[in-house]
Amino acid sequence: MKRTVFLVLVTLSLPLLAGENAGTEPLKPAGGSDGAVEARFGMHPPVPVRDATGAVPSRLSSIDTGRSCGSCHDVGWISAHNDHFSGSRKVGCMACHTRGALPDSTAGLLDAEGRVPADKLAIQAPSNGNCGHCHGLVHEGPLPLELPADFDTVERSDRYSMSRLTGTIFSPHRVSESFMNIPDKSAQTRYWDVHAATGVGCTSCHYVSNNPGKADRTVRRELLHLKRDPRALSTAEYLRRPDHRLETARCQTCHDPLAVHGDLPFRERHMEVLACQSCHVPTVPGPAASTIDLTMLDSQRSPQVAYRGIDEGEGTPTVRLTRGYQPFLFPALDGDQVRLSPFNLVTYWYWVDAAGIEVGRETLEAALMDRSGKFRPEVLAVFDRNGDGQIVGSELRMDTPEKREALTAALASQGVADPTVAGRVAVQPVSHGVVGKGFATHDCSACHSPNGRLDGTIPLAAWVPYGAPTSPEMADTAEISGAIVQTEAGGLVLERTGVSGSVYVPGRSHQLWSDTVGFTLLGMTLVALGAHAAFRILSSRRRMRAVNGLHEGSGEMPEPLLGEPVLMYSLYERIWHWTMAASVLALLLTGLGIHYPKVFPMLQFPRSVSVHSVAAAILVINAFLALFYHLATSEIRQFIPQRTRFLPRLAEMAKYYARGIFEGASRPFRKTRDGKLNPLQQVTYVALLNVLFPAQIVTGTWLWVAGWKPEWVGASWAFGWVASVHNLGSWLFLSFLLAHVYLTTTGHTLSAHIRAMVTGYEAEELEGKGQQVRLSAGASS
Amino acid sequence: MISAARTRGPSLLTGLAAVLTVLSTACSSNGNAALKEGAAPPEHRAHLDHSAFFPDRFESGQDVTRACLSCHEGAAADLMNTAHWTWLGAEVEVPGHEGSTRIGKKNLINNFCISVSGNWASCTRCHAGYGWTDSQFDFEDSSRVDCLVCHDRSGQYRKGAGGVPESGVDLAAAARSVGFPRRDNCGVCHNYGGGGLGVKHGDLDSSLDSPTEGDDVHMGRQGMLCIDCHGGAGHDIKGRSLSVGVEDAGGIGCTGCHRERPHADDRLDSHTDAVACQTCHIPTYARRNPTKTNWDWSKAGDDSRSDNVHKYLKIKGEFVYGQNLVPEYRWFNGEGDRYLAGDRIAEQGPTVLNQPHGSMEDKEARIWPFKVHRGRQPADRKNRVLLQPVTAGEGGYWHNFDWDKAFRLGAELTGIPYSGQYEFVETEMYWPLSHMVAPADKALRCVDCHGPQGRMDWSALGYGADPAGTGGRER
Repeated sequence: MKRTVFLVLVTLSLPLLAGENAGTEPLKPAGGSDGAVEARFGMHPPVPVRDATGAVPSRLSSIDTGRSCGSCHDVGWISAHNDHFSGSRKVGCMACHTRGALPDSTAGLLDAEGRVPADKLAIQAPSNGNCGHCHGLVHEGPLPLELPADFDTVERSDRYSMSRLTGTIFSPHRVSESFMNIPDKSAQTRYWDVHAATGVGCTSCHYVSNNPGKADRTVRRELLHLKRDPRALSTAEYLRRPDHRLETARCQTCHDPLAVHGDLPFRERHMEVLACQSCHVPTVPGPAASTIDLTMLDSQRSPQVAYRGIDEGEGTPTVRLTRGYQPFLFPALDGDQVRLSPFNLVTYWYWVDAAGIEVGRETLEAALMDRSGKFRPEVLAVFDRNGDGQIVGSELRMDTPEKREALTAALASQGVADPTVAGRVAVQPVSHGVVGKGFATHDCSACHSPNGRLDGTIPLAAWVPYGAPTSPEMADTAEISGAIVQTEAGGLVLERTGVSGSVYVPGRSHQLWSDTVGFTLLGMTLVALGAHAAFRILSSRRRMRAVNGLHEGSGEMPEPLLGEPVLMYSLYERIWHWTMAASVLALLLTGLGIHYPKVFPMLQFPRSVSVHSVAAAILVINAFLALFYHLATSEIRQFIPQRTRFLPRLAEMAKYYARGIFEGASRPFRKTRDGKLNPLQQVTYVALLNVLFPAQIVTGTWLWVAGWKPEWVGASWAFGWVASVHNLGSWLFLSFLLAHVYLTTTGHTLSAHIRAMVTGYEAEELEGKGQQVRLSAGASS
Repeated sequence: MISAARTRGPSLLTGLAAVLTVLSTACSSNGNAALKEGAAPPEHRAHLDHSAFFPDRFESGQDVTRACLSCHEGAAADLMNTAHWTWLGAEVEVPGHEGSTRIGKKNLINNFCISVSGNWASCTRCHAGYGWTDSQFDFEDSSRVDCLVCHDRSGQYRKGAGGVPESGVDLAAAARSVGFPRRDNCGVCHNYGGGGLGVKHGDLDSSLDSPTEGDDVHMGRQGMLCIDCHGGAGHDIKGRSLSVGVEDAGGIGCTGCHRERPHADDRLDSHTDAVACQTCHIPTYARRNPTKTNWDWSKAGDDSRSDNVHKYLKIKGEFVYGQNLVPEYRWFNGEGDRYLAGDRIAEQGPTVLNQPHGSMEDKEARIWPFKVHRGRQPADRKNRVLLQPVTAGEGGYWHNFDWDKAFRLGAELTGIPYSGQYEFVETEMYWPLSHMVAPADKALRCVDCHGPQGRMDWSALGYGADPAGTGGRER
């Protein structure tokens, strides 16, 4: 036989909702009719109320919903398909589908046929208030929000659980309008929840799963050729058998994040690795539990709770300064894949028996108190330090072996075998308290920074009861990597060791090897160039002295034999070169801004990202145009090493830089219009243009495409590797740039090469040495 | 060539800097997107210092006016064409009435102090003139124009009975102080209309003399003055309340400065077709000081009750005041009906003295916020017209508490016959709200109107059900 008896009694009188109704009245304009109410209750037909015997009851509390609601709805089927009516949970129809505060007597409600009109029963689709009666702090109406006086009393079925465990409050009001004790409150003009403010209620997202009005659920994902199943349930059939296994909508059920976020660089990449809530629940202004200590209960039978985001001090959270907190971001399964999502971490301390099963609240209450709710004398004797007959405040903390023994004994007396204290950390997703775009996280450095929201330590338990394990078990709701450490104050913190799941976050994540190799290379280059320059200066002075001795103070060094200035670099070549120089410089600078936002804050991370992409595009276009130019004009031959005797010639050039240049030897190769590059340059440019350039362009494009079409470039792990190679390449580029600039000073004067690249003109070097040639103005310094 | 080359190097850097600058400016947004292009909070120019012009003392207000007119020759003629002087609007056709007529404070009936006739000396404290104490006032005498009430900046200028300066006012100091009208100049009358602070308007009271931005964002945050919106050339102050006219006020509106669709959200912008800006941006009125919402003349004259300016006065009857009130919402296209002296009162229900025009079907109408002032005021039981008692005037009700005599005196002055039988009937007056605009973050949010907790009476507005679910009207 199907279960037809429903529990309705508990929720027939909903004092919270009644209070809200009363609150609405004073602000209603005089003379306004209650049209909204008619519209809400008007459709439901009168209910033939019956009690369990089938008779018309005299009290609403004795209604049998199986016989009453069941006259139209298939109550048996509904109860078998119902999250709220499974296991120990038995929530009846009327708890959610009436507005509460009904008179108990049916006299005056009944019509001639023993039916009660729907408006008298206040039958409705579940309102936010209905859900909030059990699930969390739901606030409606014009009166300012304040924490309820009983917020600090945690009942067995914590009716404020959502708010307590995450700090979120479902209210359409602005934080600034609340009565809560929040610093700089007037500036906090965000809504407690933007959905509440825009009329999106609980049932908008948590809805009956076969509701034909929610067409998105009518087609299974596998049926790709169908957008909608026209054979969906008829409204009549749905009303008879609504499937109360509630569906939970995701953000994307209603929102298309890619249709907006136009100003977010790497939009698709962000959407791939971030849950919407990560940015859209930037802070939670309400008090969220950090610790729920169920080892000992207070006289209200409530465990002790420590909250994060609340200033230290005595008293309930309702009176203390509430600063709120930033939810902690961890990779976790978000719909179809793992994304960084916001969580609160709540440490529970609780008793377990020998089998490791948690001791129930009833057993604990019975162990601590007698039937009238007074602490047992043996408990009182140990816990009541000041002897005032009460156990309050810090006295409640089980922090000594004596207290622990007293409680162990008390529990043992209730039949709990070998009671011990256990701990676990609940990883509580934060999905409410959503803000719109205006208040969402806009500061890139919140994550793109080595000490942003992805790093640092997270306070866990505010205290550890005596004898409790100092590393409570962490729930696996999210991928959390880190070590639980006990602080000097006695609490526990989680020291995060990076983000697991290989989420590479530019500006924050650094692959040690690429930074090390790159930095070493740069250092070696600098040292080598510095040493080379120093030797050049020293040797030049020495030779100067030698020449002075030889030529009786003429002070002139022998110079290479130079011809007339020729157009060494065409206008296009110069434009190309300097465009390349500017774009490479911009890329290196903005790259530093992206890779080390903390070291170079003046480069402004978001701006660096934009400019980096633009400069890269300029560089690539410039490179291809130059390739075309060099091919078309055959100037490319200048870059191609001679086939014969290349290596010896290369060695000769290297020898010149290593020795000859200090001895005043002439360059082994002459720079002429048709032979601008020496073998060393040729091999460098071949490597640069065929290895480093393509490597940077490929990895850079990869990273850029990852921000735009993440599915094209494969798994997330690649991002870190590609970014590291790109990073290493930029170190190489920087090293090249330094050497390149240094080597421009090795012309016949310090600035001859640079000047040539600016003006285009440079004297060709002629055969012979030691002959002094008066140069035209173009070559004098 | 070298010098040319020297400048080319740095120019590349300059170019790069320029590119960066262009990029950065392209990324950042500019200004208040809700404002029209070119619109900006007004700047207030300094007024010519008049302190050296008037060394001698003045005997009367009219002497001051003559001194003003000796330089500002056309000023009085200008003002004498405006309602501040005539207390009448232009010729209009009042709906439901034949021909056209001029209506204004001078000849209309309201449900506050009822009417001016017979009570001139008391009412004309707020006339921009001197000495209007009876029906014989000379509206052509330019020396009777009161320049100071609007231009005094000394802060000690006060008008007494008939609008003449109270004794003790230093007229020379007032004359020397003159400047452009500021909020307190306008407020000295408009904040106190109906005989006390905040009696009439609900969206105008002394909180606007030194407002916070919560009182009014334009005046409090931007420091705007009344004349920034209402100012016009030739002393012609723009704007008109529905209480004293039937035609569209014209000339002033939010869209004078703000864009038609000012929100960065299509859902909000789509409201502008059907909802006046004021509806969301004036979430409540009389936020700091209470305003009168109900005036029951029938309770007047009771010696047994003690006087309390917010609850009961023997001469005026019983009041209800309210603070931080939720407006009532009606369709309104800017025009309205007007009850004129001698019109018949409603057979059933309250007589609406100035019914705003508009309905859901009226494409020009939008949902507006109103203060509705409800009253019980005297009517002729037999002739079914509203009566205009003499109250403050000689022999009036305030002197000897004799209604019958007060109505007879009134009838003599107005020429509307009085049958000798009177009763008190319910009346309503509509006051559209446009001031006390809250900052954007205090404006109404969706659920203030939509959903189960909403404040709108959708049935009464003609929607049947919440348009958030069923859709708005076709436009």
